[in-house]
Amino acid sequence: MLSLRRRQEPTDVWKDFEAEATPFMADVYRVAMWLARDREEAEDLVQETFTQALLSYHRFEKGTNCRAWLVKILYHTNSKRIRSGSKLQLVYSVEEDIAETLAFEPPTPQGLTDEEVLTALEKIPKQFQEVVLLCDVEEFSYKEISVALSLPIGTVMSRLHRGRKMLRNELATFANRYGINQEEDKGRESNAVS
Amino acid sequence: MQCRDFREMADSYLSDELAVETNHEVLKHLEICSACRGEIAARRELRTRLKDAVRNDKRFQMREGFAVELKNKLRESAHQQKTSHIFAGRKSAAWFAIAASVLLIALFVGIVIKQRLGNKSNLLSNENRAVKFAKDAMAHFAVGDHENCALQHNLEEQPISLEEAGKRYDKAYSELDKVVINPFAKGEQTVELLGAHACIYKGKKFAHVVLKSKGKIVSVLVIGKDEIENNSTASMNTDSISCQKTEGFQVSCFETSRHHVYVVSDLSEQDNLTIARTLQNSVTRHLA
Repeated sequence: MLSLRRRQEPTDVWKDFEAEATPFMADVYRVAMWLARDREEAEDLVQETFTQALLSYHRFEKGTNCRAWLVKILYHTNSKRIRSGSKLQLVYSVEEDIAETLAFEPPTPQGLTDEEVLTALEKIPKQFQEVVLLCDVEEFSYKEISVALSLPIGTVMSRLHRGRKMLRNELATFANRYGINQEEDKGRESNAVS
Repeated sequence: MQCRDFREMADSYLSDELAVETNHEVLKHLEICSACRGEIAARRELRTRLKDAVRNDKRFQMREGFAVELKNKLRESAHQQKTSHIFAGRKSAAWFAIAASVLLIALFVGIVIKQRLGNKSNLLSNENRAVKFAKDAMAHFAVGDHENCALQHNLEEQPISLEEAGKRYDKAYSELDKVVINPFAKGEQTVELLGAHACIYKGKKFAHVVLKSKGKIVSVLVIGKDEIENNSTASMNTDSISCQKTEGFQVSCFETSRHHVYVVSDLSEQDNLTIARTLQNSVTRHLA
């Protein structure tokens, strides 16, 4: 259905934007920092994202997920920065090669530290990191991730599945190295095989 | 549902992305499988741990003051947008005013030009109408003179010679007969000079050259513009020759700077016009 929207006065826009978008600054910064891995770069990225969002705020449909809309702009802004030769370029591995290495799945280890979990997440390829981060940390739906990353929803689901497996594998390596929950894992492994 | 199937969809279950039916199957499996309950608990814990790890990590937290700085910048940007919006509005209004002014001026100039052209056009058309009216009126005099002088010899006053008329009325009338007949000497059309004189018909003084062509009498009548009532100094077109039928005769007419010249006959329109065209240059030069 065609709907006509009155373009707001700039003062109204700022009031709305301040109430609707700025509360998500910390969330956007977190994702930006994950992408940039550099505080200054992340701040630039967030500033650029919110400036662009403010300019485009008349396009935002009220009642939809503003945080997802901001993250979409963030990814779009980041893509532009990558294209313009910024050092934020990400190098992806070939997904099929990675899938080959994931035939065995150990049980999910427990009792790990935050640092170990973060280290494990940082070890998996970037394209899997970002979907795991957006889904499991930022709690976006598959569809929202699909829109933000401009990927088919099937690709998002596939990457999530593989990314989580990889993460569990990495964590299992830590757990085995430090002997965490080995007895419990053995019990769950034997049950799972049955 | 098997444990292998459950493990494949456990994360989607935790993300609440499963279809209702599949969700039911997962729940049913969890009721009967303690290992999978352990696995789902472990994955839930991992997810919580991961979320906390990222959210609590100081690297992923904004430095103090950044949010305030950015909000201030954004507020300023919004204000600039407002200013530019107002400025754009004022600018648009200014452009609109300029455009409207230009349009009004163009409209005014257009009206003035149209009026002037209209006046000029009216003036010209009025003058043309006056000239045509005078020519039409004189065509009747010419026809009358042709009938009463050349054909019926029924004039009240006796004609005088062109030499005499040259002396009395207009010196251009002298030798007009030669000027009229000469152009036909080289032409294919046989035209014979019957006579030439100056006569007065209803008070109008004509220099009158009588020709014969195709067995018919042709009058070439020259009258000064000062003889013509309601005469205008304006000219319709000195090069053009008009031909009209007046009182049963073909009357071709052209004008020179000081005279009107009429060729009257009961020839066809084409023949009458041919005679008028043949003598036009010669007569016009002579009367100039």
